[in-house]
Amino acid sequence: MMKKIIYLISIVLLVSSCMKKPDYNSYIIELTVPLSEEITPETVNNAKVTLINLQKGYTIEALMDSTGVILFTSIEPGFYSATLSHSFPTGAFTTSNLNGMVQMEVFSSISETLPVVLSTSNALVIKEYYYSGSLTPASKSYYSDQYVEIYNNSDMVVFADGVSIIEHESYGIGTNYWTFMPDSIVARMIWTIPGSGNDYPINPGHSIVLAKDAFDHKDDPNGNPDCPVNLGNADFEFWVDYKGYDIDFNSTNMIEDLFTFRGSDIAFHVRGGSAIALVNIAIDPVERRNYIDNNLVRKSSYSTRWYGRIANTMVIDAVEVVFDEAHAEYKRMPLVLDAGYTYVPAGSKSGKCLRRKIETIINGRTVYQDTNNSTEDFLKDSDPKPWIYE
Amino acid sequence: MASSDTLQRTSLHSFELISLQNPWLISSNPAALSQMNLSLVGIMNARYGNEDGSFKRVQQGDKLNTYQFTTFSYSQIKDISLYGGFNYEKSFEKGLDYSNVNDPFRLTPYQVIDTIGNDTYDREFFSAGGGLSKPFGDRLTLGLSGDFKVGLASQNKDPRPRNKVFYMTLSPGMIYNLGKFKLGLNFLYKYYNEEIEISIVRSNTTAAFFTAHGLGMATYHEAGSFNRLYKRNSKGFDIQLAYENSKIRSVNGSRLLYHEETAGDGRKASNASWAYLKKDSRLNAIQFDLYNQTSFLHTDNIQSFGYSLNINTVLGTEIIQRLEQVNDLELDDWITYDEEEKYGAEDVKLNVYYQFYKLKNNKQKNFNLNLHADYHSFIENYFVPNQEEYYKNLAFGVSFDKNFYHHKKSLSLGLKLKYKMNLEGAQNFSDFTYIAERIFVPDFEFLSCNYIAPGLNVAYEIPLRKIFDQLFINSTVDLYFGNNGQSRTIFNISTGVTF
Repeated sequence: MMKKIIYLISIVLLVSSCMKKPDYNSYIIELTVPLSEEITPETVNNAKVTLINLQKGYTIEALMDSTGVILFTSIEPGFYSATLSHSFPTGAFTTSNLNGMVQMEVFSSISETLPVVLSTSNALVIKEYYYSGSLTPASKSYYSDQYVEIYNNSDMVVFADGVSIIEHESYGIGTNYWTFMPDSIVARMIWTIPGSGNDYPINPGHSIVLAKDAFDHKDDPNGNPDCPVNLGNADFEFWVDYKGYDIDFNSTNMIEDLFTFRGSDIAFHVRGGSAIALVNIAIDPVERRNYIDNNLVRKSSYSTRWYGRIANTMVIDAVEVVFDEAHAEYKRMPLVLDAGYTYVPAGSKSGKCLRRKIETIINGRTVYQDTNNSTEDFLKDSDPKPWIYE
Repeated sequence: MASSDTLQRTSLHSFELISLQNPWLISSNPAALSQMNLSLVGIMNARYGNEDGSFKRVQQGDKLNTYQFTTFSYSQIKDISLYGGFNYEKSFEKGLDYSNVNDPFRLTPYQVIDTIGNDTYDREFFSAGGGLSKPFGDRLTLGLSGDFKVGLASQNKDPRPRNKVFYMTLSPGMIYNLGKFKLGLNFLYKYYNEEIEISIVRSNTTAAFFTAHGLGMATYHEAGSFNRLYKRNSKGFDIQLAYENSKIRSVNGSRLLYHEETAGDGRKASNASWAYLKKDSRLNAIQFDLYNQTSFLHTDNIQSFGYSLNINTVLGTEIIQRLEQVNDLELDDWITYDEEEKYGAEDVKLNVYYQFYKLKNNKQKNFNLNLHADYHSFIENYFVPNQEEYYKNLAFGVSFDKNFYHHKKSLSLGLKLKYKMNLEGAQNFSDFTYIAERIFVPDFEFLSCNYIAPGLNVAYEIPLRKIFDQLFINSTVDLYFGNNGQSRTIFNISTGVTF
């Protein structure tokens, strides 16, 4: 009798020990691209839409049809971004890029508009951007080896004279203050390649390197034997004339047009805070100076820090760099300049860089992908290989 | 000096006999101490253990060296029965990958993982416990027991976690005597706390961290340091029904425990400080145990059989938060947007065994034959994106050991053999993430692998004259050979005294 009682109790316990099944939600995201005279059903047909879970970092890809509407089903709750990227020929020698991006909070099934812009590609593109720096054998941080490589992606000679490189004012750790100026980007640093228009040619399929410090970082005693690059042959250098702290190496010095937080040398944010762009303000130094001086902005009337406002129409190429997926919501570049974002997941001091993907090779000339969407266009965690086009 | 119904002197096999003659020991009821009729029985020993080989879990180190000191005893003062023990353990787990938690096999999917491997976990743990029981009249016995474990684990390479671990159990219990039948009931309260501080000694360096959510799903962080806090409260009870006559002692029991565990992160993001604690997840689990041990006591032998069934069901909830500015003073805090039950698991273990213990001169061990079978099934699911893993394993084991006596000295030689086979299993992943490929796929290969494990144990005892009864040295070797070509050796040697 007692045994029966204890077994009965055990069965009751067993039944009560059954945990309830997980109660979870999944939602539907409906994204609609507004069609217009410019954005036609043919334009959006086969456009790739990538949905990114910003917390977990995974992506879901799908192709849009000519209706301009795409459905993502069985989506877990969370914070997402969706990017659209599509390139298509618009003539015998020209390519148009359709790009779009939207950020979403998905805690129910939602319908969102995915705004898109049409843009065209330029001849000069940023091929490599190395900002992470490296570690010395003594485990010290080393970021003197940062550089930006500019590539001629066209089949004609292009002159680099007067091309400026700018760093966005915001490091992307908070909401961009300047969103009320959608037709411009605001720079904390503007450096320009010298020349009068015909001094610094870049042949088709070739590049120039803008180095923070133009010397052999690998073998020089003042360098870092674990550094991945030798920049002794860099074409240009960011040299800062500041109490002799920055050594002036043999490379041609860039022109310092704006350096809001002026110090002994320039530095790109090693974790990925520096979004950069190539811009064409003016070749003539006086004209360029006037433009910058007439477009200085500050955050408040009390601030002594002035930044440079650059019109989107002056931008040749832009790369939106963020810390990581979680910081993508602080994207700064307008969609028309860069519809996506990228970063080095290996992190600071990793010796890794961002490198543009190869689209094709025509008669030995490498053509890099340029859809104005850095999420799509760049390889992450690449080994730095300036002047190598593979 | 020894248990009154077994031996004159306490030896290593005294403890085997105690567990065979006292089935109450399989319960967690401290009042059962009074049922065992023991005088002073104790042991004190030092152990060295070594594990080495590639046949292992992914989050297990290649090598494990353990140094341990243990002392434990039963005793009786008038009508109060007591036990107490103390344990010190120092270990080095080398060649460890993908783990920043002290115990990655704790049935929680919410772990912190870094990608830089070949770590060494240096652990130092103290534990102590004790209990007492006292009869009140002929029918009622009350008891109380408690134990705790506290320790520190740390790794030697960036990113390097420091894990402060605290664990305690408290249990009051009672037994009501109905003659040949006895009814027992005890309550259980357990608390587990693990605080992890992960730092990177190299200046200006960050590392990739994954906070895992189960079956390869994880949140990724790039950070220079990371903090996590686990807190688990467990409450439950254990009921028993025992039957006893001059030849048979049997205890049936059933135990139910509810666990709730939270994991919080002190992650530094944006311009937040460590004061902003992010709630990562909550884990609810129910543990159900059903057990029996029945021993037949004869003059020259003891036969014992029994089973234990253990069912753990787990429900995991992710807490979705975002760091946001909460007022005009630019203060940030984690804002909760949703809580989603996205993880479920069920772990079932069944063990049945039979033991034949042959006595010599009615009090010493002659030989011991043990047969056992173990069934283990495990299924876990992650929902949206849907990930599933399950496996069912069956294992059989046999062990035999015999004692040889010569001038009051004793030599024990034993052999054992275990064979585990996988009945079925599969991984159905809709998303093969980095974590899934690096941890779950190879770990599943190990868990669903067949193996054969021969073993050997040798013990030698010599009598002592004064305070202690016996001096012993004991060694075991277990070899695991998986059908994937990998193997692992587990070696232990201990020496100590009995009293």
